Amino acid sequence: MITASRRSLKLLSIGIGLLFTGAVYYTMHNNPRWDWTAPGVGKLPRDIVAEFMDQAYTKGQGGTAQQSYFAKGAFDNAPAAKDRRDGAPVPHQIRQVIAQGMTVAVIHRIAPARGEPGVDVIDVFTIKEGRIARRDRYPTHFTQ
Amino acid sequence: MGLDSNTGPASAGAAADRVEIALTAGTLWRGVITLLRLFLGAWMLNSGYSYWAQEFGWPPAFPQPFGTLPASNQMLVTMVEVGLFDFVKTVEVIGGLCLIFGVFVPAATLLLLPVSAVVFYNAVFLNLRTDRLFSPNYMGVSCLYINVIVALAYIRHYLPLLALHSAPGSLRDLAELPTVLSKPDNNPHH
Repeated sequence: MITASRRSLKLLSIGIGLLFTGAVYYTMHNNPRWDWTAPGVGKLPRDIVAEFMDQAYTKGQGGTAQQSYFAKGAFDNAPAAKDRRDGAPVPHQIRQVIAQGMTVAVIHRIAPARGEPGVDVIDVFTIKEGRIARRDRYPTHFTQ
Repeated sequence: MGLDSNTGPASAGAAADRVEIALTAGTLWRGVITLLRLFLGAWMLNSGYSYWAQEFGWPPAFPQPFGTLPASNQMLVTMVEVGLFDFVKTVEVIGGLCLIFGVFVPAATLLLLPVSAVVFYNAVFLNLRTDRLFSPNYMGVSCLYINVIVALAYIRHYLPLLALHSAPGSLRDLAELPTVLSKPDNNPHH
């Protein structure tokens, strides 16, 4: 039989609770499944794509953007696209963004830039672990 | 556990604060339940904190997972986009703190139960992790198991909710709140 004060037991339980909290934090934070270097880690897929497009189109830093935002070995059926090369900013007009789960479809008109003609495209991005794991580009022609 | 008997007004308060802990199955049960409550609280607090930490630019325990399979992706992304996760993660933080600090434990356990149920649904029915259905270190399922066990341990607090016949009262019943809040733990099994 042990005698203890309720207050001590309460403080002990709070201490153990805080210890558990720290242990869970430490274990989860250092879990190798997270790629903390991914620019979109923990972000919504549509936000990751928006950030990539801002850097690649508005700032013209496609080369830099694709290195950080595209996963290693990512599939891209338009690997020579302007948004994967550095250069002058590429004006583009986003008509619509459709996001469902980890898939983000961007319907946009890319203006002529860097000596290349403009083009209307539908870019379908698949996000995985904070990076673009796949991009399928479908050239099209907007009637308006 | 039982209260010491003592005499004199000065020692009455100190005596009321003392408990005798016998090494019995009941003590072991309460010890296990306490550890489960604290672990569930720690988990919930980390989960809720991680979401808000990212919102405020603080270091999270882990980045918000968006599931593995498409249905899970869709549910989690949508919950974040429509703002439902703000509510869920706030519940996790409040519930987690209550469990760790041992206040409003029956209410907090009940509050967290739907969260744990959705976590379980996401893991088993959307991500199809049936292979880890009985894996104790997979919180996708263990979260609900622990939550249910803790809730069962506090079932005496929920039994009045199961009244077969009941009549409505009035808001004046809230006047009893101070009495409820100052009520000592009167577990008859102590």
